[in-house]
Amino acid sequence: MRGTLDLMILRTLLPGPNHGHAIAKHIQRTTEDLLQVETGSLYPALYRLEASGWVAASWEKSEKGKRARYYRITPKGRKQLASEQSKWNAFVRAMATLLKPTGEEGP
Amino acid sequence: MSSMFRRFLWWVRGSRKEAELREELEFHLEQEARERREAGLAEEEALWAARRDLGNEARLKDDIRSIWTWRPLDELSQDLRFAFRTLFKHRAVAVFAIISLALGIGANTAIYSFMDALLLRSLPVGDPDSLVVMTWRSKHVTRPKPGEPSAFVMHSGDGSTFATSTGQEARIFPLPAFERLRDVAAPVLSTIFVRFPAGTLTVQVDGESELTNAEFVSGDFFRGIALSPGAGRLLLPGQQHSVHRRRRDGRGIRRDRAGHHGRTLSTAADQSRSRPRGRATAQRSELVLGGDHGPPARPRHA
Repeated sequence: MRGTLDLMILRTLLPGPNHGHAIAKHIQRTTEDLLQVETGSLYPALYRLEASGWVAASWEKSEKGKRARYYRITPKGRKQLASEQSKWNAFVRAMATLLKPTGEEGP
Repeated sequence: MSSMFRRFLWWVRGSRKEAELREELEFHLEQEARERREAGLAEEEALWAARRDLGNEARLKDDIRSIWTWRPLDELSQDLRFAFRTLFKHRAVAVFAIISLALGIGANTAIYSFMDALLLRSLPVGDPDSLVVMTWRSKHVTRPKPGEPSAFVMHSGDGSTFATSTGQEARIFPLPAFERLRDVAAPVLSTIFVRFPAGTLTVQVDGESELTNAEFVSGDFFRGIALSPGAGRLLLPGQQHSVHRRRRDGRGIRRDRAGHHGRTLSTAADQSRSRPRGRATAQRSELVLGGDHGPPARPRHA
């Protein structure tokens, strides 16, 4: 679904800034390997989010002492996250209602 | 900062962005390889696995680059480069094209500014639409026989007259005619004034000499065209009366376009520090008109 990756990235950045690799790993770990973020779509998404002003990037030292590009969510990104999240919740509710067996289905 | 502006900045700093992207992806690969090593893979294998995971690096970079490469701008710069390359290759054609374009544009601009000054812009005076020029008309001139007084009223050598089918026309008026006109013009004309070119004069303003075009004008001139001085004082109505009385050589009457005076006064306004040329002209006109009246050395409003 469109915007799902953006939503995941923004949510992951909510606790604090992180670099691309850590974002991918965090999503993978939190969802118990159910969701795997491909590198080929992660970085374009990050740059797209940066261009939209939802995340900001800066070069900082990583925990291993190497220079890494850290992304952090901006106030505009927080607003975007809230609106995406409510959209997603509505979608989930709609799907749940649709898929719930009611027993009164069909002829 | 809008998204468009941010992308534009990235595009401008293209090479630096490239280097940053390379470094970022290298960092990612390193992290990935380290993780796989820690999971028990051999050094070489870990590196390969990380690379595989990254996928097609060139394509990835292309995808990212397309975010900050603003396509229309990129294509425009390509087109411009191509255009200049082609121009440089066919130099003779290019030079001729550029010269003819330049001449065409220049000629058009010149013609337009000329027409603008001539037709579109009105005079910088109080009420340009109400200005009229009066022309003196008389019967055909018959040259008087030697010894006989001339019957023709215009005997000034200064003004040019020209023949028409009905008689003789001139832009100069005999002084009695001007005085008579001034007395009876009131219901039709608000002011009536005279101007006559006085040629080029040397005017000294604060010790600096300068050549300027001067005019003889009558006292009502400045009131008539409703000009206010940039500085100093203008010739006032009535200040040339006694002078004119004695000068019966037929100085012409004109209500005309402001010509030199408009220019002189407007440049005078730029020089508020120095004594304005407008005033100098006014003084001078009084001096000259009073030329045969007595010693002209003492201007009345100096």
